[in-house]
Amino acid sequence: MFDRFLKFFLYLALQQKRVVIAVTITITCIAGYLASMIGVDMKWISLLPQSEPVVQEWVDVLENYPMGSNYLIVIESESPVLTEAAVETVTERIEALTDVVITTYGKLDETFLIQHGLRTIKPKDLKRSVDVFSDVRLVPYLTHLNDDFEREFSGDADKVQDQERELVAILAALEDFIVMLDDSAKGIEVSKPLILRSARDLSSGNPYLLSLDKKMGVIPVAVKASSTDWGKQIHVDARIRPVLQEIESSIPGIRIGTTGMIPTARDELESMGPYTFGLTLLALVLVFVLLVWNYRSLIIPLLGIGPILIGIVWSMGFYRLTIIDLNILTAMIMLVLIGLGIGFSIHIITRFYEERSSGRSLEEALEKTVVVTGRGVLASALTTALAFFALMVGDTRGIAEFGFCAGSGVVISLLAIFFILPTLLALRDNRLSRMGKKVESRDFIILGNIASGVTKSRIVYLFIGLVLILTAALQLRELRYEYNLLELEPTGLDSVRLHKEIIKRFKMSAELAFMTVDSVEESRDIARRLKKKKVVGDVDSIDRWIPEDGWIEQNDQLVRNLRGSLEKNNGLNSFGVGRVDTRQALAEQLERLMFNLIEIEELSFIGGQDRVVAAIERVTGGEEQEGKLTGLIAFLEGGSADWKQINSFADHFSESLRDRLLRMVEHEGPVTEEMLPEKLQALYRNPESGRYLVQIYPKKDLYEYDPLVRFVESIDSVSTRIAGTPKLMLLVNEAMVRDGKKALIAAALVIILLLLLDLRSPTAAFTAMVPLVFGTLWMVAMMAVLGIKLNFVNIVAVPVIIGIGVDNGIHIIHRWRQEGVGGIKKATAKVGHAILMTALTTMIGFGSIGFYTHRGMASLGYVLFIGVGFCFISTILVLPLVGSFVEKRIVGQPARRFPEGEKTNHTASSL
Amino acid sequence: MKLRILLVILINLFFLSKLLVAQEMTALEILKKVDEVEKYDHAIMEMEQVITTSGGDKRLLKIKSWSVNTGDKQLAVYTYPKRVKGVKILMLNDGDDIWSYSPRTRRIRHLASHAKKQKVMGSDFTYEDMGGGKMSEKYTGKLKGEETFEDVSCYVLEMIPTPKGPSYGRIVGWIGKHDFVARKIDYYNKGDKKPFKTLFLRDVQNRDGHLVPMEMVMKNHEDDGTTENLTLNIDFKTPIQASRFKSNRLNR
Repeated sequence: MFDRFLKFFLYLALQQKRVVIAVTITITCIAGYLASMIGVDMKWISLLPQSEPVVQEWVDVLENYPMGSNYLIVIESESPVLTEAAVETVTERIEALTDVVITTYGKLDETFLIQHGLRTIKPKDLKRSVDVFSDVRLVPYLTHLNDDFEREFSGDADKVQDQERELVAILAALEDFIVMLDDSAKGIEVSKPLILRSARDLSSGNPYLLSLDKKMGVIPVAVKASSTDWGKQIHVDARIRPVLQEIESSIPGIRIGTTGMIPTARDELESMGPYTFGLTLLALVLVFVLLVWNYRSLIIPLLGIGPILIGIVWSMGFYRLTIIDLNILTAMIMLVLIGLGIGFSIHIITRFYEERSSGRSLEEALEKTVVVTGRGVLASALTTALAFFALMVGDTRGIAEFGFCAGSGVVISLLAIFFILPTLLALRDNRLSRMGKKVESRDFIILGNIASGVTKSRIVYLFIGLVLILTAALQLRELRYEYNLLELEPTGLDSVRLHKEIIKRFKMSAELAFMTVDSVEESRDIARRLKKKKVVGDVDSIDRWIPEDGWIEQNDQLVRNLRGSLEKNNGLNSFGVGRVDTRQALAEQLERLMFNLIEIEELSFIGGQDRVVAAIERVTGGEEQEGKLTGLIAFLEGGSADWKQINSFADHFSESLRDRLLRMVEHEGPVTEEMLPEKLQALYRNPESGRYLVQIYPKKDLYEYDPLVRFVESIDSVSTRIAGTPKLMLLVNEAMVRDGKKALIAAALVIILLLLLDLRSPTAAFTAMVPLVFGTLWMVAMMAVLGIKLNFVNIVAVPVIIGIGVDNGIHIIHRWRQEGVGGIKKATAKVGHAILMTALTTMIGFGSIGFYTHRGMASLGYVLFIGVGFCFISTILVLPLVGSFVEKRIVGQPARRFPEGEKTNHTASSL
Repeated sequence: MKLRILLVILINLFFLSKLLVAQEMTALEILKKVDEVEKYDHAIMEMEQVITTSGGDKRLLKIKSWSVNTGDKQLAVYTYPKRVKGVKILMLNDGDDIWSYSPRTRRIRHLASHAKKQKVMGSDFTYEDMGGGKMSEKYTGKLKGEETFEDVSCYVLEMIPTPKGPSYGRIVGWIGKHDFVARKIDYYNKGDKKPFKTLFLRDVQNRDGHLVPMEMVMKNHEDDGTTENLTLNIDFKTPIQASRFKSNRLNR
């Protein structure tokens, strides 16, 4: 069957050259058009098995709840006021992009907070607020605040942990208040907007999503793009970015960037796009130069490369029809196909000129080339392709699609080569004949000598080989896996920088975990249990805004109490001339505040409440910064404070705070879901399913493996139904490793089966596998030696190297059989030439991947470069050595259905 | 014939085991034995405390403590790191009366009575875990059986706190059969079937005639925190002045 198949291409090359050219041009044009529409989805999440429940839950939540976790706008400035103003502007402008944006979540609805905020908190906590705010003149206010701190947090590490969010919010507001008081003490008049801002933050809380230092604001954007529609996501980004650039240039002193899954993937694509083109071109040029040197011809390399390029265009067109978009692994498929396809061309070209220079006619030489060498090429290509197809057993889309693309790409490239190359060789041969020229073929005798030398001193080499294998096997223990996906990203990406900056400045990660629940009460229960977990930074769920039924009556009474107190205690501050008592009282309360904060900080430091520690250090001072409160106390003690200005500030502050609180106690009664602002309702509850969303913020950077595992284990102990990015991050790594192993076994089985079918001898089949086994083993050992970690990108190097290794083995065994017993020297000299050229060109092709800025891709390039090199070495050194022990079994068993004439031509060597 | 002999042996073994069980200790006796083993007049101890915080960070603290009458009075002083160096915790009356002192504020604070249930300085031990007192007075026990835990044959005791006892719903302890040193304790909230934290006691050494677990690890299953207390030195010989346990002297 194979012979008839190959003879068909021979017939085309000899009899139907014009048809071949016409068909080639037609298919290439159609495929080129299709290929031009192919996209590249660089999101690692796209590699995951879509059937996994956590993936489905992730997709389900992203499709049904307008979360903004995949697209974060980050505003940085040196002034908190400026940051807030920029958040306002960006929110307004971005929400106006109604064709691509659903909504944004950079700011809470202040009207809701004022009207209902107080009644959403627990009666116990509301009672505390009532006590603290009962008299908002400076001294009474600070006294009550200190009482509250001492009562609630003194020596109580549990409470600090439980109320971390509330504590951090109060501390951030206190910091601004202290700065204003300090300014006043120094005679600086504090502006009214700043005082209003402080009153807002101390009463209902800061409504913006600001970092602890308040200089970074984050705006999550819910976009109108399916989580799986990469094309649409890119479109959304293309609409948002110009608006952000315009705002950035119009407001001096701010910097706007984007991060999250979509912007990070965009940055990767932008950093890799030009590289892919440039590196492919570089690889082609280097391969061309090498082939020019080898064939001493400018035309022959073009004959070799042309069909491969055409094959790649055909493959890309095919991908567009099947998988639609490439992913992070299949993005470099062109380079893989060049690496593999060039080998097929080289074997065919080398054999053709070998036959022609031995005096055979064009027809005879082409027949030998297409039918005999073509058979080896076909066998090795099919084995490689099937090994790639075996990767489709993987559950992950990444591995499975890579298997599909590489397998089908090899088959399509092979078809292109068989279809076009013989015709091109025939056309050129005719032209050379007309010109009376002849191409000389060169053998690489040295390769034959090496192979022969190894077999002569085989005991010595066997010993050396065993030592090397043992050393390599020992090195395997040192091989590590890189779980940190950010370590694979290109260096210098702004989205990655912002991701790290958010964790540093918020002391919390934006990589959300989430789950959906049936009711507000279930949401409350889950949130309560999750908040107890040390790994959880915060939980955002609807119960945060909906009080329990039992709270309503108590809260209404407390609201009335506060209203009464505020109406009663409406006097002014009195720090004027002669009021030593109140001045001293203020100083005492500030000192007491500092002591309370220091003691809370000590508890928080030991308990790991880093956000509280950072927030307190900003007020009391720490190892690296001077405390604002410490400075103020020292200044007041110095006796030069401007008490008139302090009094003025205090009056404005008390008045602003009282006014705001009076607005906050105007309403009574329950707070229901329907009273929530629309965007919050939409965020927390899906109207169709009626289910509620609970969002969980991790404390730590989950791109680090240990915190990631710890976080996932911890939230799993609350509910295994919790999904989200952290679980997907763990899954992508674990699934890739699991699939990698599975695919390796499947590929090995397929290869063994095909080799047995092709070579009809277990001994020959296993000998043919020597280059792949040794090449892979040494490659992995060398990775360990060089400190290159395995990762979810370079793990595909293993099947690629298996494909190349088996290719080499098949060619050597086929040729060895043609040369007969004792023919390893000649076989290696002849076919070794093609294998060497294939190895060098492939190393160039794969090595060029090493120049990618994407560190994951670059590592793939290094690994493949090393792997191909070791495959070649083991083909020339180890295969002859191993084969020499069982030569009769290999050579004595001819290949299945050799073409007529070949069986009796072993010693003629086709020369 | 052989079958008969075997049957006779089995019957005898059965009655012998019954006899042995009858001679087994009661839960109260075991608890009293534990009290005897834990009893000391005075002890000066240096230890390292490793608290695993969120995301796996580890905080290393060094503590020196003085205690008398099997922990009836205890004073702990943090000696490392710099940020908490000099912080003191004084527990009197078996942990019913707790005082703290911060050198940075120079304030002595008397903690509220409910503070017993709270964690000590962010660790996974509560004040009542650290407090002294006799097990046989704090708990009523019930012998649940025997198990080997970490290669040590243990009595498994379920203990319900007495009205004077700690706030837990119950605890289950694995007590070494031969040395009456606890090896593991599960702590349960009232009505719970799963423990919310577990204490592991390892590396039991004889120091000045007292058996001391040099390593104590408290694993909190609720927040997944862990606190390891590693005893570096313990001295049961040097007497301790009573003035060391005066709350008004904490700032000295």
